[in-house]
Amino acid sequence: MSEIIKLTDVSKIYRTKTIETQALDSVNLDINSGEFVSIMGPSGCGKSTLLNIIGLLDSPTTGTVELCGHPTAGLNDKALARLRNETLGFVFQSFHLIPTLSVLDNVTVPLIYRHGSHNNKKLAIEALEKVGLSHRVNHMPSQLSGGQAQRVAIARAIVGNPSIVLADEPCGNLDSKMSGEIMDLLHNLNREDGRTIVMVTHNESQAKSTDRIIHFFDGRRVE
Amino acid sequence: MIITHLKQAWQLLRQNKLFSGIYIAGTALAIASTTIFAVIYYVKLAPVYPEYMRDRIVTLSTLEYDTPYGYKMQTAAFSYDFLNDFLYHLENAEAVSGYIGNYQLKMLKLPAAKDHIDVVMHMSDPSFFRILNYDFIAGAPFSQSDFESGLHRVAVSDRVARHLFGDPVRAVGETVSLDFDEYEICGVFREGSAINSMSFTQAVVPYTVLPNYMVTSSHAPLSGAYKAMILTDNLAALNAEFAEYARKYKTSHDGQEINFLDQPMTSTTRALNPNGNDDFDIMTALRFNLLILLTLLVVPALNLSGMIASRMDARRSELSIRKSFGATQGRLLSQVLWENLILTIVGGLFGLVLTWIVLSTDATLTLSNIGTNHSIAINRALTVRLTPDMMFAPAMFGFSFAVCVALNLMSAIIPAWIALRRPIVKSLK
Repeated sequence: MSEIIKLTDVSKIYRTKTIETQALDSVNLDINSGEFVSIMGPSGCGKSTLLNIIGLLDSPTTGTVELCGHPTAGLNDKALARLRNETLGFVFQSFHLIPTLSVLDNVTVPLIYRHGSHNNKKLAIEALEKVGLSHRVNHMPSQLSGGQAQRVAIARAIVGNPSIVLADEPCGNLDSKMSGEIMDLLHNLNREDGRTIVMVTHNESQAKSTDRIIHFFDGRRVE
Repeated sequence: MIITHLKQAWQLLRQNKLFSGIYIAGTALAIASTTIFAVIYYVKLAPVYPEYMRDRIVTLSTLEYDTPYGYKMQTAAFSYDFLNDFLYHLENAEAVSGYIGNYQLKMLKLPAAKDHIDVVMHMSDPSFFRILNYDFIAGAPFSQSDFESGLHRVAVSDRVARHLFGDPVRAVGETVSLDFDEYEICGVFREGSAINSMSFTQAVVPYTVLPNYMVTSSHAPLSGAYKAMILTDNLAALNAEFAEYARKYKTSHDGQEINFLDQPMTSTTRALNPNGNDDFDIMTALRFNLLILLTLLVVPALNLSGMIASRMDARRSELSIRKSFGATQGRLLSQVLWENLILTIVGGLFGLVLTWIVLSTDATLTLSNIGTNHSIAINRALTVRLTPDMMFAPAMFGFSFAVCVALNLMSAIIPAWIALRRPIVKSLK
């Protein structure tokens, strides 16, 4: 299997006028294509920062990030946006659906920012079918349960067929039954579609169900 | 893409009713105030009824001259001799009309009636109707022979005719009492806008009905009651003719000088310098008017900008989500501007309606006088309004739309840009 995510000596320091916080400290990480990796650690250890850096939502203070073999350092806003759009899909703990858009329009969001994208509606409905919500296309986010909202968020993450899905505590706001459903869904995406999934979680059993667990403590990777 | 933006704008509008309502109301007021301002200046400057040949019409009223008694005299209107001996013989004029009266109110009634109405009257010559293109609904202006004979003929406006007779056509040939003198109605014309002081009239009679219309004071030979409109294609040549007249006047009057005080005056100058200030500079006047327009636009834009900034805060998470799924800052900026444009256009439509409501009232006259010392008498019996071709001019719609776009850009671009520059991760927890 080839490396799809490669972090070399990545550090992230947040600076304010009075304080300097080291969120990540010289992190090296290789994740292979098709892997389902969990990132675990106590709150504030840098898990989400790591996910944001992998997802190109934040930039490292030092070190390099490569996605699908492409170095990301020095890319401008347009190039980063394109890379996020074509390579990455995000699933957030708080779902982050756009409240003013219908389920269908929410799922279509990544496609409208893609050059030359056609059949957006068809693709969005296919993604919703995959998460079992094709009968809710015209609903508004406020009309969905937490589990349904997260499934819509997953449909949105995969509609553009990205090779990497980044999930930041995807079950953090769900009860155990719904968490189980979401985890099943993520495993299916990994097994059936071959997508690489990087998931931040506090849940030991969910982490154990993945291919590999990476532990973090105080911004450092620990074995 | 744009349809998606519009759909979302509609959703935002429905979901944030208070915000949307206040925003639309603010926009409507801003657009109404700028459009009212623009309509008034459009009516003052553009070729509108009945001043279609405005770009060729120049006017003359005030004069300054040395009297034979050794003092200087300034007069707001000139004598018949000056009109007859000089103006009527101008070589570079296609037509010259001498007239008496701007907003002269006269009592008009049916001869047997007790009650009268006040009308704005002009006393003029047949050229008045050649220079100002009034539409005659019935009859015709008084003729050259009527004028030369001093016959009591009057052309009245359609409003006057309707008020007195119900049907304008029926008015022709009827007799009315105008300041207790009887006149026969020779024609009925469509009334213009009261904003245009030169052409707004409700009754026009030949000035030759005055028994002493030719009398000139020996103490002030150039002073009198007349003003003039001149139709010309060659203003430079006309000005040269005036200069030549002044030179000859000085020679033939023992060095006495005549000063036309920067006249003949074009329509643009007349509209922008209604008080006839000597130190008038057209660029200063344009800058002043532009400043008013900008103030009317910038003040509400700042308020709306504050509202948008607070809404951008509420939408920070949405914008970050869009960024994380591949939207560039430029794309999101365009989205915010499109969405905002919808609100602005809705506000603009309300603003236009508000504009029409305000312009259909007599407040228009008051507004048109801001910055001038003209005192326009408002005729209570016959209220004066803008005509539909002025209020619904395509240029006005274009202007309103341009104001909408400008207001949208001014109010939205800075808060949107600031919101979009915030790091994505700060909004995605």
